[in-house]
Amino acid sequence: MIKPLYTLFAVAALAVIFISGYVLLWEPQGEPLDISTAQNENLLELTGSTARLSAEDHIQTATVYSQTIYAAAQDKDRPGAVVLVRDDDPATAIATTRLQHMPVNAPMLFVTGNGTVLPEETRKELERLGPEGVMMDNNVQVYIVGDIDRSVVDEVEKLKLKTRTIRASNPIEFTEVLDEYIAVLESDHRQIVFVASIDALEYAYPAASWNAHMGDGFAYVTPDGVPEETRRILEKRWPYYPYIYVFAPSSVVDNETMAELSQYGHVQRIPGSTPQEMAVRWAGYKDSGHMTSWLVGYKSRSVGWGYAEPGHNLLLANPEDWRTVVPSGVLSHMGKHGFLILTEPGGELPDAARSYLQVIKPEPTYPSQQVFNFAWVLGRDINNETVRELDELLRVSSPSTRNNNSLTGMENETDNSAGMVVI
Amino acid sequence: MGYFAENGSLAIPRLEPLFAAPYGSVTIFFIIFGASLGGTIASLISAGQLHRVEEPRESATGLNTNKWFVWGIAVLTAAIILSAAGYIWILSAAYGNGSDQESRIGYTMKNVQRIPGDTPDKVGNSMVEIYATEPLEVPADPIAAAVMAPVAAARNQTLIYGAGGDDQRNLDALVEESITLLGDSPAIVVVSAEEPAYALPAAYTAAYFRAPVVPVENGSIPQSLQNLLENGEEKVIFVASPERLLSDEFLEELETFGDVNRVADENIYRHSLLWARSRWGNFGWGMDENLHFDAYYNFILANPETPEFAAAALPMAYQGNYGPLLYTEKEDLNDYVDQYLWRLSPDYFSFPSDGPFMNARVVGNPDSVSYNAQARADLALEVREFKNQVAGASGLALLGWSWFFIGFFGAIWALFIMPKRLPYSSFYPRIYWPMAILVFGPLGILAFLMTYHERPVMSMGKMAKFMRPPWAKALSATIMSTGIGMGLMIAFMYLFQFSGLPLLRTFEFTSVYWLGAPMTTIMWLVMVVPAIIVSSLFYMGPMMADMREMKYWEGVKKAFPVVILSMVSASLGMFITAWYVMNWRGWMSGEDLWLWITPLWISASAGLLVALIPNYFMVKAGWKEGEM
Repeated sequence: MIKPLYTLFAVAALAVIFISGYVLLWEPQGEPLDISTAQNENLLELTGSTARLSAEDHIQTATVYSQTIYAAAQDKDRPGAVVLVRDDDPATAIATTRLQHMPVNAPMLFVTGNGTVLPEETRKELERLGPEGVMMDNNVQVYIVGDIDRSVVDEVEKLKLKTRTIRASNPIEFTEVLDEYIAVLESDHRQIVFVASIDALEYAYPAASWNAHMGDGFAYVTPDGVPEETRRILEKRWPYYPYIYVFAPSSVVDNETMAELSQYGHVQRIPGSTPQEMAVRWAGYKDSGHMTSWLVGYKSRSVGWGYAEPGHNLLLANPEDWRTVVPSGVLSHMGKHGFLILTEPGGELPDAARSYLQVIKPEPTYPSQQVFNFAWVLGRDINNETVRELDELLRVSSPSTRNNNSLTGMENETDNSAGMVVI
Repeated sequence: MGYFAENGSLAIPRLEPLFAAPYGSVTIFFIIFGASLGGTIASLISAGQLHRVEEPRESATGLNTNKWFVWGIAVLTAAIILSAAGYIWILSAAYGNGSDQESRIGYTMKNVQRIPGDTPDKVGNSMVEIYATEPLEVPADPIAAAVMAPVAAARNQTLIYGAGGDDQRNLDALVEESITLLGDSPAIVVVSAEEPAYALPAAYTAAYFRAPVVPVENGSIPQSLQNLLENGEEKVIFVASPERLLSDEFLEELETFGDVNRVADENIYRHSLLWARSRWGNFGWGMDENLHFDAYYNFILANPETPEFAAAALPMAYQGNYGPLLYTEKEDLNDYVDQYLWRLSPDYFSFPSDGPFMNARVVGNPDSVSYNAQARADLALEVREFKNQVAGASGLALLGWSWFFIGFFGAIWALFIMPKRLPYSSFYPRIYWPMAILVFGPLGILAFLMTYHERPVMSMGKMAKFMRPPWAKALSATIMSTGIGMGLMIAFMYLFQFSGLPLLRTFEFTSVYWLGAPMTTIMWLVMVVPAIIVSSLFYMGPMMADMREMKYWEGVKKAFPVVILSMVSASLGMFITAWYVMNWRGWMSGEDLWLWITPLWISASAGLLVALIPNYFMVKAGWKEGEM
């Protein structure tokens, strides 16, 4: 017979050895940031209710978004993976934001030179992030997405990062390939499918931003109608049917195409005749109802941000450069979970946004119950006047107009903190 | 313990995420932990004092290879499970290493930003740029800033610290100005002019609520204050300095003029929290973690060793997304503050974008507040799902841990008590029962009692047999295979989660794509198939060979179908439960997070219940023993 004490000792000793093994697998401790707080002050301007995130170029801008969300100062604030996309393929990047959502949990960074060059900034950010790996897919650390050259994959693997490539020769084909990959990852095809026109991508920015936050399906239509790939995507929702939301006005996706889409499921068009207007309408949009199953394990659908009250955050971007807009999905995915609002090409707030921001402006109550709004200002193509105006629209009406300066009931209020000494 | 942690009188260093769970579940966890530990010790001590008439004879002959196999696999499985559970605690306490941050362009993080300015004066300049209102210049003196902040607030101005050559300006004149403007305020804040770090948290409150701040030098009541108190209506006076700085005698003197409250703590970090938490009528932030009603809190974070920074940031108390001042040490977020932020950390119930949201702004250079302290606050303030706190412990996670610790202490208890209280039990039950209690928790203990309590023993050859009704035989037989079997399944699940679950893209574009899916087919396969193989080869196989006096391979052959039936049925119960809670109830968790325990241990128990069915028939058919 083996004495119980020996058994206990053996188990404890082995467990300690294993734990030490896991700890030894940690990356070495890096140096914390030690630069001046005023460095790059202009790229990271603050106002009372906003913060700007920008950089010298689009490659670095994407890394700034990633730095904002993932501090990488301890184990639990690292991403699951990183998504690499080409900086000249907006249609693929927009379709990819859905991959950033849980369980992958990834920022989006750029590859340059027609998909052949891993830029220095991106490489450094990969090293800084040290992604944890996606537990549900072999601890993959980097997704290399779209038509990217093999040499980039090799370079990433040289950094001792585990990669997964999701490749297709064109964006429309890519949507189907990605949809299949995510279906395997999640053991399900998403019932919600957003549809955009491959010819008018700026209308799809709000959908891309939502998808980084929620990970719903995404497909393209063309001016010629519904491509084969998109048809197959829509058919794959069997035994249910897709709920299709079209991010394009009728001038871009005509009613004939809408009718075609309606053969596969429930179709809605997001209102708004310009990208700016559509972004604002989408911020207030909410479509709720049936989604899957009627009995066991039914899930209802709840599509759109649908906010018409204070206490929410937004991303303000200029739609002129997609490379500033699309990687910002990670800011909708974590932290402030902001929805996207677009400026006019000149960087001013559109009227639609002004009137919407009036709707969500917080009123002062009391600090312990106060609700606030916050905004990320993205890139350098939004001028300071716009930021001031935005700040004014977001913030709580000045507390100086407050008229609650009485101490009635004070005698009844006691503080239960042990540190308080009342004389 | 939960109560004291909640009230900020106890700081549990580095395990704050554990205490971020609802107060009730923290309390339940500690009660259960304590009771299990105490019960185990008490029971083992009392068992040692049992008086026996006859020495129990060793019920089995010596060790052989089969027994070593079984012992070895049980020890290994238990060690893997305990290392998985233990690592969750170790990681939470140790944080894990951070990366080299040199490639960052700045300090902006999702929930915590930093005010540009490496000196207090530069912070003052930043304030004007941030708020763009009319400036009010004050000298580079934290006490002067504290006095003038409420004045600036009332005039809708931005206080600029350290601006102008006004250094010689008389503090008394500033106080006079403040009292003239804010004399109507029903609250007055009195601070010591020494150690401004104590004055500033109160000054933030005063600035927001437009209450005059009156500094006291040399322990005497300033003339302007005396005039105000003598002439006006009765005021409530808050003294924001500890006894060391303003004595009790001084407070007694003040009491002749009004109602005096000392709101101070010698510990500077708790002092800042006290001012953030407290509310008296309509004065005070009232950001108490017990009573936060979906509010959005903003904080300013500074180091009390450099109070000039906190003074320069005073405009943030009343402009923009305003909030109270909290203090931290340089290297790491102070434990009290860490705990406070984790307790407040916002939970969402439907969608993360619903809020509430919290934000903090750090003021100070990296020598004052480090990047890591900022990052810690950033992690604590992230909005997370109520049920699944991810980095922090949720109530659900703590209930799982409560269940786990009953099993953990129960397993140790069973390991030691069986030789003492059940001298006729043989080698194998003494291995598989502790294991079963480890994975089935309270259900395992219940099964143990139902199997052995008041069962007569009969000696048959070299083995003793416990006489039981058929249902108890089935239970005993189920535990025999699932105790270690379930342990193996959990251990393999852990190892695969640790190294990443396989995902097969082979079946993409077909209707059987789910065959390659990690959460359906693969998860089931990695749990069951290796567990069946290992159990047949190293556990049930050798055990059956030993018990039935067969050769090793004969035993394995006999064991194989039994193991398959038991494990597949157990895994069905386990897998369906796990899949449901993970996919439909949002209990999904990584293997290094607090919630990892709950779904696995609950599903293990569901597996035990399902495995009872085939085991009943196997015992009836004589495939398995139910009398061990």
